[in-house]
Amino acid sequence: MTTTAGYAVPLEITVRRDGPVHFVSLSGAASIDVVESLQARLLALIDSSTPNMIIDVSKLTFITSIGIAALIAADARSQTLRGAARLVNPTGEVARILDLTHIDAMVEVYATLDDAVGSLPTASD
Amino acid sequence: MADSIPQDFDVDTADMIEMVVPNNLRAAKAPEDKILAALERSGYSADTIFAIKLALEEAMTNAVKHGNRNDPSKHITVLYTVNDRYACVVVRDEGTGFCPAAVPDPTQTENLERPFGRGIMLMTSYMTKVHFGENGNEVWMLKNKNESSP
Repeated sequence: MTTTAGYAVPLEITVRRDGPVHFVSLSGAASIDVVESLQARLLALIDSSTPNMIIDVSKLTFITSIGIAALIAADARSQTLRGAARLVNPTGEVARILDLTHIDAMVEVYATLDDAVGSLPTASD
Repeated sequence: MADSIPQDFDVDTADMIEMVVPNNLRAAKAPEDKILAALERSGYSADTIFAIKLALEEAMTNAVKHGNRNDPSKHITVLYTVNDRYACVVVRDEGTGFCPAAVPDPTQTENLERPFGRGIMLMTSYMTKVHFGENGNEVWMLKNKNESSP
């Protein structure tokens, strides 16, 4: 394929840690051949010292139901450790897919990074 | 060739290309790459190709995980035809089938936490037509070339 359309851009995952929070940025397409490793990567980042995850999906260009399941699984794992996962700023067709599947009923979605960080549970929660 | 053409699918299956791949998600990328390349050569818009890619991946994921139950000894079969009017894709697994009507609506509150049904819902939302074969282990999907996204 020679196209540079969003659905064909390889998935890139960048991660940085700040205290109890991993900031994960997803860019490109969460296609069928990488989605299982995406879930494994997200789950591996969540532990008792970093139970929280902020996932920036503003540059995510493609996702399917199994990718959505990976995001839900990350939040579920976080919650078992009294943390949480948050999604930030979905755009374009990814936003439409997340809306169709009502993911906001499962994982909290925020427009900005600051809002997402401010919503995370604190140690006293 | 696939079991039978759905009655309301006005497609010519004579030139359908068939591919059989191992039952895993990575192997499923191969038929997808060929189909997307055919769509691009035929001048389909990025939006339409996105829709077909989404439905195709949902169908193949269902075939691998639910139809074939992640059994590495099984295979999935993908057939497709692309022309100036439509793209038609068929995905078949080697499982015992299921009843699509029995899949609960994934957007209902009581079903939101259940991991079933989102794939079928997205397939029907993004394709022009979706038809499950009688046994439930084969799905036909049609997308008109000039149809806009949902």
